[in-house]
Amino acid sequence: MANVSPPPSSGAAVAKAKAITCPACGASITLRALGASVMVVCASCRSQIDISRPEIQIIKRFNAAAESFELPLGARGPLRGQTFEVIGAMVRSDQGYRWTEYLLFNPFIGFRWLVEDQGHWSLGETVKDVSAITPGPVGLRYRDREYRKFAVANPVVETVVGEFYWRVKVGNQAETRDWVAPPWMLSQEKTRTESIWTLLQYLDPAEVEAAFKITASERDDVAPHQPCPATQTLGSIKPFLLAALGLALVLQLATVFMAHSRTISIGSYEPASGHGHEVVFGPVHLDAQHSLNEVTAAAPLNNGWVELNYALVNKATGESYEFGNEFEFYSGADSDGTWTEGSTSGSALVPALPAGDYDVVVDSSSGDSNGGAIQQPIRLTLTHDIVPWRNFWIACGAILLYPLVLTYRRLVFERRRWSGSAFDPHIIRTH
Amino acid sequence: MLSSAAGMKLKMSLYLASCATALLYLGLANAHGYVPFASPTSRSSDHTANHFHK
Amino acid sequence: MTAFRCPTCGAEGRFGSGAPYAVCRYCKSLLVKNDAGPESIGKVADVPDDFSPLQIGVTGKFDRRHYSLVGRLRKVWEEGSWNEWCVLFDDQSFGWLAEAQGDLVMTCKQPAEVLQGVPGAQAAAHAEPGTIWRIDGGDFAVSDVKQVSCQGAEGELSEVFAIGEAALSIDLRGNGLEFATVEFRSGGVHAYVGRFVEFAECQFTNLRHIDGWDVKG
Repeated sequence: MANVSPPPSSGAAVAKAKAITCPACGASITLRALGASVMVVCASCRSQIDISRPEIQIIKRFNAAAESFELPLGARGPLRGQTFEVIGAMVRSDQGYRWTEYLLFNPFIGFRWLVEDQGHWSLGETVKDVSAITPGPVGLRYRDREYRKFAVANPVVETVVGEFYWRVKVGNQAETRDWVAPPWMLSQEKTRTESIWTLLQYLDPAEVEAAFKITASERDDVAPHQPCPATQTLGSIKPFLLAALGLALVLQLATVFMAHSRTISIGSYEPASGHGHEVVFGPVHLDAQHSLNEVTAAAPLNNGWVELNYALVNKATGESYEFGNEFEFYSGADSDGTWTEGSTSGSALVPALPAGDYDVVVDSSSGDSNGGAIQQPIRLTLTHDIVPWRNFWIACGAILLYPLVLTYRRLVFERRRWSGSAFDPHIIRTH
Repeated sequence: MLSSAAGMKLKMSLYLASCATALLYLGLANAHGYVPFASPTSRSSDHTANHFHK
Repeated sequence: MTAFRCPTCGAEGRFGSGAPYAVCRYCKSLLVKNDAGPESIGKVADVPDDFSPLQIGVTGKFDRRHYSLVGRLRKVWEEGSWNEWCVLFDDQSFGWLAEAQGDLVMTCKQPAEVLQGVPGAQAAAHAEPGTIWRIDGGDFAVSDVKQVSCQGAEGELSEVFAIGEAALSIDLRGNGLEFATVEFRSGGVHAYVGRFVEFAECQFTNLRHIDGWDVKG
């Protein structure tokens, strides 16, 4: 019987995190995704170690001071109900912008990405159903969302620490393209042999702070896929907006339907006889409970003005409603031809009149081209129980005010978002 | 500081309240034939049947 | 369940599935089943340590088909390595559950007829990513081309690599989550078709405990 080592224990086997010694500097390195990761960068000396074979090899030796990352390796936190551990971190840069990409791992779920860019956080997952990414009307279409092209970049890896499932080296450059459908972003990374697609979701920094117990740095600018708060609010209030406008229309139509709009002739008023003292007309009978009425005066004026003072006196209560109205009309001829100015009629609104019989008391002052009172008679009419439109416009204005403010805010936000993109859809490009 | 979900609920409630107020105004004002900014009006309760100035 | 004695070291073992190959737990001899008894055809390396929650004996579900993991191959290529778990379905058929980069892919071997749309080994070795091949009535796009070999094995296996053999392995993506692998080995061409599966949908039982982690979400 040969001497053989006993078989691995079956049943309740336990996988433990493995610690290895860095072959370059001797520091202890904890491997958190053993079997899935192929390389690890020593946090102490930054040497890159190949762990894809049992024989651990140094890929590249470094001596560098440790860079501080907001999230340390080994940090664990729950994101969207799933716990992940930070096993790797790298800083990439493109044209002066730098951002950090953390590789997260959960042995029962797999890998995820946590990206931090100028204080903005996103959670990313590699897309498995790549064939579901298809060309769409504004760029790409994936899972019933339209994504708009935002950026093309060539990021370079500047710093790397921890474990990765491919051999990432400082200096590696990739070609990336980003499409956005806030809060989502589709990011394509092209290498020589393939395209890797990642779907990222914008996270509220508070979520990352709560998950990893850190204080995130302040957000700078608007991220490409940052959801616009005004857009979200608009979406929430839209049902109320539509219902309110609908109800306003219903109420107004009901008012239109129920208005009598009855024209009553008051009489013919002689301004010359009315100067200095009043003429009483009526009584006119107003039958609607409470009504809006319009008193109209019309006269075939020519080069004259008239100012009328009215009092509607309720015969039963003695209550008097006083108001005034004035109008003027001039005409002539000059080098350009004939001209006219003004109007030959005028009207005044008398709101909230209770039902009853009313005397119409009129006095006036007027002037014609001779300076005396106008000679033309003024025909007075009262249109009883007309439709008020002012209230409807005021109500609509009040209902639309907040949505308009939000729409303005959305415009400003989207301006800021797309000002960071070379593919701004709002700019009309001249070639 | 309110969480974003609570904040959204607050905004929705306030907006709903403002819409309700606007509609209430519309209904009541129309029913009473009232409009704001009508021609300058004064009302007096002079109980004399005829109205004499000066 | 058939008991056997390893022809190399004499240790006792069991064949639980109808799989033709098994690895002796004690001496790591690769055994092939014969009527006269198992025959050793070489030795395999130990499977390296890893953090996988899967182990031989784990049961799972794939599209309502119940299965258990009976063996494992550790495949290796230039840039890394991964696990290929040999899967035994309740109907006694086999499949392979690949565990790579945190993802799981279940594929089943297809008969040779499906490969009519597939070029020969020479042309395949230079296939460009994105090239469309027709396999099993569906269109698949080449996603990567690599040389693979076996780093270690354990348990029972429905097929094996010849010891020290390297094969040309081509991965392809189909509609949605569909996945296919075509392997050009010394014995011929083999096609496997299946799809990505999520850990949660497999409803695994008997998982290996991972220090510091609960089986959550």
